[in-house]
Amino acid sequence: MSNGGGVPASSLVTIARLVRADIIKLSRYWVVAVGYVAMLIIAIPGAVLFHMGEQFINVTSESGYAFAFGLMVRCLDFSSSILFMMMCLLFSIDVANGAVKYILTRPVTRLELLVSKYATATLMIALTLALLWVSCLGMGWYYYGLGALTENDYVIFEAGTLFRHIGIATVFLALSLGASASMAIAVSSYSSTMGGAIIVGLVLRGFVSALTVMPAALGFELSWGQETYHFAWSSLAFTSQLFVPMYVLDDLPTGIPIESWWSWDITRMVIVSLVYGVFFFALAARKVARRDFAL
Amino acid sequence: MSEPAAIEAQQLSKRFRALVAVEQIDLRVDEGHVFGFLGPNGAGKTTTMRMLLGLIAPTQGSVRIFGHDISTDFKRAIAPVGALIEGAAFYPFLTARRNLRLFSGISGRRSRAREDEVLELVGLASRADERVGGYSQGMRQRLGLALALFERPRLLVLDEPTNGLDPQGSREIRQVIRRIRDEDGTTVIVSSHLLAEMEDVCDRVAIIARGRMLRVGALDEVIGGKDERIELATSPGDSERAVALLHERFGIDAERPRRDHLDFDRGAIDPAELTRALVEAGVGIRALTPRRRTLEQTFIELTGSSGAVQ
Repeated sequence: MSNGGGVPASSLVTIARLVRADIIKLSRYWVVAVGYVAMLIIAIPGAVLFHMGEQFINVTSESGYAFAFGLMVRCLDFSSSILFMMMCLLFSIDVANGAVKYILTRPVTRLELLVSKYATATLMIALTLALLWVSCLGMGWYYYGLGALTENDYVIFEAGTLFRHIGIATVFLALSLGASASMAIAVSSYSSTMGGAIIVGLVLRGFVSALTVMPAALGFELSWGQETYHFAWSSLAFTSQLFVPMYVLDDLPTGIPIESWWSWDITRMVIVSLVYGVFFFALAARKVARRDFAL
Repeated sequence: MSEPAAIEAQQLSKRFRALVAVEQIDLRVDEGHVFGFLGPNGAGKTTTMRMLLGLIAPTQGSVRIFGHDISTDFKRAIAPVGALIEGAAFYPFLTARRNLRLFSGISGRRSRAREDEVLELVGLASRADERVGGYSQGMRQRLGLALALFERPRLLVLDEPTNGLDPQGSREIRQVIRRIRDEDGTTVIVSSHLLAEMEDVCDRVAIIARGRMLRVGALDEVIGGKDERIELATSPGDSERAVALLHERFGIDAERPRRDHLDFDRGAIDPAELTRALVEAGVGIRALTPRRRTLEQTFIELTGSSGAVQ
């Protein structure tokens, strides 16, 4: 009995199925598994070295949170690179293996395929941040404990307050990593090989990161209500914007409350991330719509 | 109102900058037929197949599958289609079964029982839990066919399905094609440059060369059923006499492909009359075989005998 086709599934259902397919294949691809294990392996010995270093110079974080935040900044540096390389595989793994032909001869539009890659990237980002926070906070707890932040038995911040701010910072971190994901997916959509996607992606990412060398004084003034803000060209190095939420969070363990997350630094980070995210999405959408993936 | 064709292409053209890969192809395949798409390397077969499946957009023309336009109603058009396009390729780090499950899950049609069924059908049941990375090209081709068949498509599009297969494997694929046509009424479009196997399974064929459709129709029409030939095997030493007789009595110039063998156009000759004449002339007949013109002969006449990529 032949299949007549029937009513095609909605876009949401199709995207969910594509994401499931991505998860099945990526979770069984050793490169991705090694990437995530590397994040964990580097974070934990890193914490030990970090702690040993503190003891060597007689400086102590004094709080598990300060230790965890310091460690997180260092872990984000290399983990974001590993994550970027893994996200460069999202399209290229299908194209390089020729599997994209099968996907595109199923009831799947090219836009649904592209959106599914963004959804998979979001899950990869969430997993990365979860692994890093678990490692960093776990090691902070191991060395100094995690509870209410106190000074001379006076409670400065309850643990709940600290974790709420960690949650907010995580959302901003995810947004910044999302811009990286958009760049990785765009590069991936142009590439026919996995190695090519990673190399071109790293070159492009390095090129964008190099903008940080521009003096901060170079830029333009942006008026927002009554205020005028300086927008440095170096801010366009969106990879460095990743650390902005951590710098905001870094004040908390010293007892300085975060009055508002919506500071100019965060606003600028959000703008830069969104601009890059949308720009690379448009590039990828244009390519995916036109590309002959069977070649 | 008549039933829509399983697939219908009108004025289908594809240009890659200055190169005209396919030019104004019209095609109609009715439901339940096995349609062969023949052409030498570089003739435009795969480009046409890709356009039929919406993998590339035509420069001009339209494609409708069971009445749904592939460019404006893609999901409905493609839903009843199973396809194997230009060499089967899978994730090499996954097993055959896992690959099947992954792709069938995209359409929401995962089924363990169906996995077993199609793997058995293509002869991969015993190797289903091995990684595809260790598969030969022939095994990958079989897996590609399993995937194309998985959702019991109403229309099966197979681009060079026997590539990389040994003779036994090619035969099995032909058996599968016949079986799904006969048992499920599946329409099959199959491209190949292996003419003998196309002759074996196709009801209708199209011959394409240099991006143009040269001939399309039922197999007999395309081959030219009236142009049958006769192959005559004579007793040793009798072939000269047979050649002279054919020329004098019937006006036929016979070819002698090998010793004591003649090959000639049957024309209007009745084989019974010919046999009588040969016997009366004392020609010993070992065999007299009316033979249909082969698809290969027609193909070479239409496309030229050169095997060069076009």
